[in-house]
Amino acid sequence: MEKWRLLDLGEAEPYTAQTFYEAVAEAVHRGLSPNTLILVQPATPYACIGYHQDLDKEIDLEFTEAEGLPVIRRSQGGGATYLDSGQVFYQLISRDSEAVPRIVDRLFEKVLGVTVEGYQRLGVPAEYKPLNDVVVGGRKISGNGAGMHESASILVGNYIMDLNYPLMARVLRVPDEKFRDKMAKSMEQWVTTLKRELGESPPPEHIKEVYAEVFQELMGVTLVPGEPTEEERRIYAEETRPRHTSREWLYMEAPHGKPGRAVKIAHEVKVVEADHKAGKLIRLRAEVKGTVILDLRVTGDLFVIPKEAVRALEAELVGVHLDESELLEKIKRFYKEKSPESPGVTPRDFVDALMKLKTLL
Amino acid sequence: MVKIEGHEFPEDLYYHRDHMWARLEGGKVRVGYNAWAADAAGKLVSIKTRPAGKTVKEGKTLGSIESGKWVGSLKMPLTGNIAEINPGLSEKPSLINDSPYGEGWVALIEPENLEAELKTLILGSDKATLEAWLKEEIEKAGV
Repeated sequence: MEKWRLLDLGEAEPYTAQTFYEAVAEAVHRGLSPNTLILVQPATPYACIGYHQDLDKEIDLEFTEAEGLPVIRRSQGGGATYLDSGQVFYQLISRDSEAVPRIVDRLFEKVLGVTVEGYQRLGVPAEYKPLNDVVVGGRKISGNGAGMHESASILVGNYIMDLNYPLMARVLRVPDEKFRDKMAKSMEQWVTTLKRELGESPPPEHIKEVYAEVFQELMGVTLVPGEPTEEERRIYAEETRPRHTSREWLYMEAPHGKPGRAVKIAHEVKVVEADHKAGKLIRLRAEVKGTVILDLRVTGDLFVIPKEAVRALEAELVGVHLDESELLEKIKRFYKEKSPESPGVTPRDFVDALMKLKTLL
Repeated sequence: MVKIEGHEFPEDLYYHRDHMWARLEGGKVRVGYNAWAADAAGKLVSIKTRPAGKTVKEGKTLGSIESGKWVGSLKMPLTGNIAEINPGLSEKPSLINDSPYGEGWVALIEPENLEAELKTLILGSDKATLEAWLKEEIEKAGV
């Protein structure tokens, strides 16, 4: 049976909690360290963005600076988030391990199987939702990301003991406060925690024990408690940490972004906003699951007579797929039945605006 | 032509062990990510590459890709100057999944050490070597 090192870093300051595993990955890549499972909790709060994200676009930097919250660009993918001591992180770093698939969907399926079983043993009926979500009653309860560092495979994820929903929504940059309100409500609806599910979260030490136990059973490896090596500490101090605290890394130019704003809330659920310039400006903000509209708000400088027709159209489109022909049919029928007047804006313009939302999914 | 799990490896291409391919085009080399690796990564949603004009050594990073929540690197299969980056990829990185050897090419390179480095790549028509390497990779991938 493969032997892996178990590093329990306890509670660690944000950079250690979020980036020390990269130093381990470098050491694993160089053949200096064994395959390793790290368990750690951030001691203090911070904001974190995905590798390919644009810092300015994602994070409300005035707020994080005013609050003294560090912002860290992780080396893994996914979206911007807020993290604190309410989460326990697991970080797998391996090279050529028979226990770790390299095909991405199989990797998530296997490792998230450990997360799911761990939650179940803690008393929460969690399920795996492909590709990389763990849910309870349709609500997300774990965030996960993966990647390669040279020859080392990395998967990181968390157990969510508790979540500060207002702060989670507060650190993100949003087009306006209404977007933020919608996002906060959506997070409360679609993301849950051990505390919410059980009334009280088990202590982090217990979560780590359960995770390590299930990890050995389902991954088919033996964990051997260990400590970071001198070389890992050196790589972290001389390479990893300076890189992460450099302006160059944090403000790294992001790939070409799409106009509009999209925030992933949980599995398949996003809050999105896009503008469409017809004869008048149509601004749409929606909560979408898959391609189905859960909630829609139409604003802009358009005017519709009677003005109640806008709210009626919003309600009419709830439950509808972001599908061009379905939308066109629905909106044309709405215009036929309710006969609203919308100078400079046609049913086709609404469809084009809605299809812009689809490009953000 | 070698076919692995439904993914083609055209005979006229050279294959690098970091899953990049290279096609000789006059004095230049067009490079990309192979079909099997693209499928293993999943649908790509983001790509970031070094800019044209940079010289990058073989095995060093040409760029990074992201599929949902997985991030990986694109490595240079040959040392050279980046003459061009596929302009279509920034808008649609999944061209690499849809057409890995066509529209999903990544960069055009002006090679600096072509003759010597080509010998380190696997030619698509060398079926035995290519199949042996891919078999090894697939085993590592836990299939």
